[in-house]
Amino acid sequence: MLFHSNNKFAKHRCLLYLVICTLVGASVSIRDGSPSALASKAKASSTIVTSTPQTVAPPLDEFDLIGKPFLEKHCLDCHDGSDGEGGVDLSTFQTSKDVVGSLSLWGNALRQVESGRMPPEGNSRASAQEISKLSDWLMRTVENGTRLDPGHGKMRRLNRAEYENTIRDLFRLPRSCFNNNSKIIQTNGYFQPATGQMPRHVLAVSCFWNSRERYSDLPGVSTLPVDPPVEHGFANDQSALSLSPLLMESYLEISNSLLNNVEFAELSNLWQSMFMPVKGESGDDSIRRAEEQLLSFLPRAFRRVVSAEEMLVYLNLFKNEIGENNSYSKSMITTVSAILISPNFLFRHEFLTPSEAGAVRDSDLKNCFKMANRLSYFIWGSMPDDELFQAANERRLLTDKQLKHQVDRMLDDPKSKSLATEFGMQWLKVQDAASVLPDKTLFPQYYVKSNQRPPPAISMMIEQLLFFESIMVENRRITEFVASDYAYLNRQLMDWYSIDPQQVLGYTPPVDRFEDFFRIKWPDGHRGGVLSSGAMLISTSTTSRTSPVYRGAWILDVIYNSPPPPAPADVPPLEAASGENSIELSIREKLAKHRENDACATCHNLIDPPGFAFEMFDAVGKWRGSYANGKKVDSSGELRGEAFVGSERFKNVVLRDKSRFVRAFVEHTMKYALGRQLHFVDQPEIRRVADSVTQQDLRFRSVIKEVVLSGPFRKHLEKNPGSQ
Amino acid sequence: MRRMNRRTVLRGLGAAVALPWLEVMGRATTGENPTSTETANRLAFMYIPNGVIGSKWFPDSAGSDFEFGESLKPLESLRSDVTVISGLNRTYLTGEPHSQAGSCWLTSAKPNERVDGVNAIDATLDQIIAQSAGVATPFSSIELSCNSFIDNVEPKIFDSISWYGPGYDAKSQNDPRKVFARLFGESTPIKKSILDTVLDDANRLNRTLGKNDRRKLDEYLNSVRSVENRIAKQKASKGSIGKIDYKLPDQLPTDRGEYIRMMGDLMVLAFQTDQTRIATMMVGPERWETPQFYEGVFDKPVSHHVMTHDTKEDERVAKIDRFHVQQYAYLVNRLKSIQDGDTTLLDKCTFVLGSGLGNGAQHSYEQLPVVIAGKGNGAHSSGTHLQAAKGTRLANLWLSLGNMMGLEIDQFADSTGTLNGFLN
Repeated sequence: MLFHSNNKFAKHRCLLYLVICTLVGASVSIRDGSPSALASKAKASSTIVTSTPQTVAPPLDEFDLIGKPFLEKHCLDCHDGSDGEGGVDLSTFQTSKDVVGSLSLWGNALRQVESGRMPPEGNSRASAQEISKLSDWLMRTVENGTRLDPGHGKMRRLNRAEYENTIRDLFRLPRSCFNNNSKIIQTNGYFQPATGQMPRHVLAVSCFWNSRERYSDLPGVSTLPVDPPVEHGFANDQSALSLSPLLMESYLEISNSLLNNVEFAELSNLWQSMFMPVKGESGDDSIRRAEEQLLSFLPRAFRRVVSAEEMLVYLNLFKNEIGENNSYSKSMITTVSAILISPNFLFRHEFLTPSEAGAVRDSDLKNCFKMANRLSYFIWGSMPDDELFQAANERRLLTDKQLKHQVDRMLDDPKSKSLATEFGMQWLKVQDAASVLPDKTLFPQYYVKSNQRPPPAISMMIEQLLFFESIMVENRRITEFVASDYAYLNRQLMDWYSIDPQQVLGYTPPVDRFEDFFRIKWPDGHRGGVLSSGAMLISTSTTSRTSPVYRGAWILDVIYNSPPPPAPADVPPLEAASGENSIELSIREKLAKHRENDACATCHNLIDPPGFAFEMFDAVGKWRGSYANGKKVDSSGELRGEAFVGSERFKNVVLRDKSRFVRAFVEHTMKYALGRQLHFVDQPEIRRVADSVTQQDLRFRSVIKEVVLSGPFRKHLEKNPGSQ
Repeated sequence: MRRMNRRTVLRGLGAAVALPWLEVMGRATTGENPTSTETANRLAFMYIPNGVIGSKWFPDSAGSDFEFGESLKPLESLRSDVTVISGLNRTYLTGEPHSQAGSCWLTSAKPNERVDGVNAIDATLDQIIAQSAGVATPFSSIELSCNSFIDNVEPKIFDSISWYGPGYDAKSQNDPRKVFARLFGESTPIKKSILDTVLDDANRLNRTLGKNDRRKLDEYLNSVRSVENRIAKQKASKGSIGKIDYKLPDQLPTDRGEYIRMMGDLMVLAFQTDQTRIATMMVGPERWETPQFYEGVFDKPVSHHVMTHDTKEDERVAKIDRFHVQQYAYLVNRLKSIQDGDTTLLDKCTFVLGSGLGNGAQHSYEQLPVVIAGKGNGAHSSGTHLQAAKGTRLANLWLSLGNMMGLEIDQFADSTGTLNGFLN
């Protein structure tokens, strides 16, 4: 009796039709929709896949014209034969085809040459012109010679932030019901990107201070364990996201505690229609209502088109529950908790529907749903919203214009905060500052009244977040990350940085207002930008002193996306780790000595000088003119032949050659957008994106847009994942 | 109505569910009566990051008459219960020395295999054994970590010694309160019908996937099965355990020693109540530089890793080594204090202490520190210093332990045979 309506369902089961992701309250009923109707909608005409240009065989192999002479002049002295330096033998390459066969080696070689690491000093250095000729040739070779297409990241589970955001949006909650310290601050009302302007005053309540615990916004609902970070990558990288039994237990626990939570029921805008019992409803009516609810819920939960067969799996669960005399609410809760631990919910995937259930044959439709997911997880770190689903359904995610429109719309949405809290903060390694413990005897002021105020490092993390968000919201030039004339500081940081509130603000906020951050203009050029930010300076210091090596490595990684390789395993100890005094000066001497050794010099010539530029800032981020022993700080150095003294000049040097930074920023963004490491085959597109961004006045939004429009972000749209 | 029977689904999934180690390692023996706690041996690994100062660690002379090095002195009263092993080596792969130190410590991959593309990460010894020994208990294994850092800066290869397979780490728990809740608390009520449904769904999904994606789904299926096993076994064992009287703190301890001992206590409890027979516990992650308080050792927080890089700090690093051995000794004593039938729980244990690096300053993969407490149910030596022949591979010890725990294998990773003189 209870299964009566099942016949109706069965009748439709064999039909090749699909339940299309639907919009609020207007689900396409399984009885009305027909595949032909859906398929007959106008197809968009533009192409999506950026294919490699047609190869026109060059009369002469360019290897002989460009590659070979370069190798002979700059490389083969050392990298010749099986006993070549570092185990690299470049003498075996004779044609462009050989080069294509060893792309990762050549990718690395180009990176070494472009970063100035190779050839080492004293050897025949390549001129800028030679290098650009080499790189242009390699880009051509890669594009013409290879069909390799790493495409978008593979199937992977949602990471913690994505899971939390997806739950928020799936149940139409006004706010997240989880809280964790990767967000840095709990408040978000100030973040209104559609206004194009960050407020001058921001109320920023720390996620760290007052509670060392990770807490949840809803009592009894636990949070997920934190995801492991990825070296030189982001927490959404496919390689990091495995699913352990422990994590599965967390998923079960969360779905159970969440759906049975009273506050959650009050918060969720879905609750009423989805879970509330209706008085006097018959068993059949319940099933009909459940079916209707699932028809709109399941495609949203799976973020794609759902087959009738899949629908049946969950509807049957509901029917069984009801059949065992459970209430409507209870049966629905059971059904939805199953949906929340389905692999279709927990994983991000590129396939649309199990093939035997009748694959979507309309490739435009498929591509649009994939694009909806890629866009939403890139910009929002969450599932697509109704408008994206609708756009996908109407095949409006194909052309450049359509995509740009969506990017603008999405960046205007406060959900884009995810770009700052996830991408931005991971890019800048802000979490590193969370647990710094400067030496109590050397830096007693760090601990003054430490039970009554957040540690300065926590305020510095907030400073960094608000700065990133302001560049984003105000669509500023990305070069302002390097040098900028403003920041967001609270009173604590103004004091810490010796900034007179009266001078920059016109009044003096009370000392204990830690949550009030004000936009200030820096009185001079020493600070400003992420390089001389407190969070960077403090997290790259040891407990007792600054480390030019750590700071230099940070800059190479963050600013140039060219992290130094790990030191050789048998590296002799370089730095003594004790008090200040004469140590500071001897570090410079020691490093200089160190660089006399060729093996060390290759990397340390690049690592150490940028680190020295910030020596005027001590290990806790304060300004200093001299060391504790009275000796004057020497912050001079040289970067690619340009001399500098101090942080301001260093930043100028960085910006004089800003294309390096722009490309690196594009690379970081691309890595995050794709959820994977980059390969040499991505380079031609990366360079194209960087050029477009430069033409668009280096604006933040142009980076996001151009990455979305790039080949790697759109690729793999046609390929059947089953055939990989 | 068509509804798949769960068993059918599982059978149908058979091929997909077979995880890599089953193929690699051959079949584990089930033994005569693997469920009996009388005869079952427990195996635990306690991992120290960043190597040790060998000159203060290793005894000079071999055999039962050895004298403990300074760092091992806390084990003096447990002399008859421990085997100190010296002379074991591993192969270092060009690359980052710390990342492979822990993640490849127990690996079943040969060094030249680089299963995950960079390092030789594959299923680890504890997990391979857990597949055979563990099925009798609610948890086939437990993975603990005393990583108390609130920053989250190092990738998982620095923070995991236990792996189900390449790229697939057994995530460890670092909050003692959560460990306790998982082992002994009220578990989330999970309806069987929910698991049935998602397995059905997963099965459907599985058919559409390519090879790479299928591996990801295998992780999912493995996890669901593990939850199923736990529910069934825990229900059965709940009655017999009774109430566990263990006081948990409101706050996580800031003192390293207290933290490690608390985590270790939970491991001992899990063995005592037969919740599991296999455990790994990391004292801390490799390379992580955040300073920590070693109360009673230094008056300031120090960074273990940074210190190991400076040979002038050897004295102080050795103090940390000794501190870690103290915690280990405490746990060995705990195991010894628990009566189990005619003997102590310790006698039915093989409790390994070690590091993946020999010396931290040189990042050497030679002369690895290994101490083993317990008697392995009479299976192995105790009360001696075993000096392995020059060049003996660490994997030889792992092979011995694998055989002891019932794995019918002739080789483990790059082993050349079992470790001479270890198994009785």
